[in-house]
Formats: sequence, structure tokens, C-alpha cells
Amino acid sequence: MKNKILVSAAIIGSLWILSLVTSFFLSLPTASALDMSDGNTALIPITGVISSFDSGGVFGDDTITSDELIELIDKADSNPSIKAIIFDINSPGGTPVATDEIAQRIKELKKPNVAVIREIGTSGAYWIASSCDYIIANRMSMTGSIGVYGSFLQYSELLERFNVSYERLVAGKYKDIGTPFKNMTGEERTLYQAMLNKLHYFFIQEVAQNRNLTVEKTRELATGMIYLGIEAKELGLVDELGNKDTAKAYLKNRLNETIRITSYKKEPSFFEILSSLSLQKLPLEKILGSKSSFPMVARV
Amino acid sequence: MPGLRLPKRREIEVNASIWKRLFAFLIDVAIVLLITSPLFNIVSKYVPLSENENILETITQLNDYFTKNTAVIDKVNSINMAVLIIAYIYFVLFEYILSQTPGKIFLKLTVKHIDPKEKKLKFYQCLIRNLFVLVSFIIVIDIVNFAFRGVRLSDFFAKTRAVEVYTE
Repeated sequence: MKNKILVSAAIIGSLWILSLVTSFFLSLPTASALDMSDGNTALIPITGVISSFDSGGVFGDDTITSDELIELIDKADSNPSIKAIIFDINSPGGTPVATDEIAQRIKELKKPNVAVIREIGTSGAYWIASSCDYIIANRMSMTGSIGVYGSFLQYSELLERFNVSYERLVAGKYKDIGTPFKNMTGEERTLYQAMLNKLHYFFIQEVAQNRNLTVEKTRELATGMIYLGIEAKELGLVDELGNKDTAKAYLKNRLNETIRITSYKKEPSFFEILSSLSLQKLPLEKILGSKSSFPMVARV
Repeated sequence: MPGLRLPKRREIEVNASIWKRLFAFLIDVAIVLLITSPLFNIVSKYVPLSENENILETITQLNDYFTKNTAVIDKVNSINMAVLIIAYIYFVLFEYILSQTPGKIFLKLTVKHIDPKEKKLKFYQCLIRNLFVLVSFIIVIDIVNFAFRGVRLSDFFAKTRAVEVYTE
């Protein structure tokens, strides 16, 4: 009998150690974005240029797509442990459709949400921030820039200098509006400007509604001007000056419970990891944001 | 004292009753749950606990959560598989080394070869008779077979039987 007890203890002990070792390996985070539920507040970063399409760069070019972001918001929203969401914004904006998709998804949230603007939260990124319940920015953050641009390089004269001509073949007279190979006609310019004005109008409407401002006041602010956080606070574009801790304090006050952050982010691809390790982007590319093969994409 | 010629102790083996086997199994399940408790701790880390008192709403919330977090399902499946493998090793090792699991020791049950000449169980027999741990659907067929024929299907294939040993 004593022998049986010893053997039993040895087997049970060995299996318990096996169970411990297995649990250690299984608790390591996997490649997919696993949703660890120890926190009660999701922190979702909005970093880089916002777009509805992947620009296809092999080495990742600081672009976040609306699909990726909405997937993260859906995950946080569906997790019953998550009581609130903080959007950590560091973006110069992006394309109008992607911006609107994200902003509308945020407006559907029933959980309290806060936007924290770090270095930059301009244009489309500000549109997204305005759809949150509360906006916090650093006093030196760059924000605002409520405007739309569709500028592009036009190099028809350069081609002419090299005796290269643009052979225009279109069915539909506006089909090649915005091509970089020819000068825009006055009519084309007017049409294109009208489209940008409409986008601008939607932008103003959204910000006015989200921030409880009058359309007139928002229109005055919507010159495309970049405001520092401290200015934006005075103009009513930002609720409070601060950082993530300020956001935690705001949510703690609102939820009446301690805030524990859980990070929700897109897992970097293999090439993105390589890129961050070895490649530095050209300064010009960094300034202009992501490259696009569509010269006429309007940006907010 | 001159040798007394006492009669030898006689061992009588009868097939173990279903209740004793069930109770022994439950004891073993409890031990396996204790052994694998570190793995269940990870499950609680990945699966959120809802504070909602409405059970239907909680189920809907969890369903929604799992639908949108397929990576969590993969993780839970891996943990489930690890628990089953550890449980399988537990039953196989105990029966191969001792012919008894702790539950069976407690209820004085033993697993024996169907052939009385074979004193010890073969390793493959232990592997076969505990397959039900890994393949859960076998257990249903096993229970039906036991109810109608009084023999567990896994015992039939492994050529083993669980017995209670009385001594007179």
C-alpha cells in the first residue's frame, strides 16, 4: 500500500509539473492579436495615415486601414470585460471614406470612449477624435486642420521638355480629370474644387454636430489651420489638456472603478518588423505621409 | 508451534458494479481537474467573466465575443486538448503501473487482463481502454454498450475487465 501511495504521488506530481509547463507555453501571446481580459479599458492606437485600402508597401508605410481599426473596435466592444475605450491618436489624417467609416463606428459605441491626441491629430484624425465622447490633447499637440486637399504633382511641362506627349483618348470628357500628364482645364478645376467643397462641408457638419458647436463657428475654424492643443482647448475643439493618465482619471470618474489598460493593436507583419528594425523612410515620404498610386485621392 | 495447516486465503473476483466504477471515475476526474488547474487558469484569462445577471444576455455576449475573437477559440481548443492529453496519460500510466487509478484504489477495484494467466496489463491495453478520454464520442457508445451488455466497449477491445476482489 505504501508503495502504491509513493507511485501515485510520483505520477500526480509529474503530471502537475507537465501541466504547469504546458500552461506556461500556452499563456505566451500568439501572433494573432489576442484579447487579454485582465484590463477593463481598451487602448486602441490610431497611428499613421488613415486609409480604406492598404497601400501595398512591402515594408509597411505607417498606414492604418479603416477595416483594421474597425475590427479592433469591434473586438473591444464585444468583450464584456472592456468597459471603456481610449483612442491613442498620432495621425495626420487620411482619406475621407476611411475616416468617416471609423468615426461612424465610434459614434455607435455605447461604452465610454476618449480620444487622446499625442503629437498630431489633424484633419481626418481630428474628425475621428471629434466623434469620441471626450478629447484630451497635450498643450503642444497639433490638431484641427479642418479642411480637405486634393493637390497632386502635374508634370505635363516636364514631359514636353523631353518631347513626350500625352495622347488623350477618353470616352467621357471628364474621364482623365486630374491626370498628372496634362493641365486641368478651367471647367475641370471648378468641378474638382466643387467636390472638395462638398467634402469640406461634410467635415464641418460632422465636427459641429460631434462637438456641439454651431456650423457657423465650425466653418470659421475650418480654414485648414493647425491649432496647438492649448489653442484648440480655448476654441472648444478639445475638452482637456493632458495625456493618457488624464484619460484614465476621466474614465475612473465616469465608471467609478479603477482603470486597467489592455492594449488592442494590429500585429505587425513580418516585413513591418523587418522594416522597423532596418529601414528608415526618406524624410520627404515621412512628411507627405503614405505614397499613393491614385494622384487624385482627396485627403482630410 | 507445530505447523498449523490453515486453509489458503481465497480470492473471489466479480465484475465491478457500475456505481463503484462511476464513483471511482468521478474521484479520478476530480484529481485530473486539480492537476490541470494551471491550464484552467489560462482559460479564465482569455474568456471574459460577465457581470451581467441575465444568463441569456451573457450567452449572447459570449457568443458575440467568440465570433469576433477566433484567436481565443484556437487558444481555448489548445488548452482543451492539453487537458485531455494529460488526463489520458494519467489513466494510462496508473493502469499500466498499478492496474488501478487512485479512484479505483479508494474503491478497491482493479483492472485485469481477461485471461487469468496474464498477471499484468500490457501497455497497448491501457492505451486502448482509455481512448474514450481523447475521443469523447466513444464514451456515449461505451455507456450504451455497458447498459445493454454489462461490458464497456473499451474493455472489450482491450481484452480487460474491471473487478472487485474479495478475500475470504
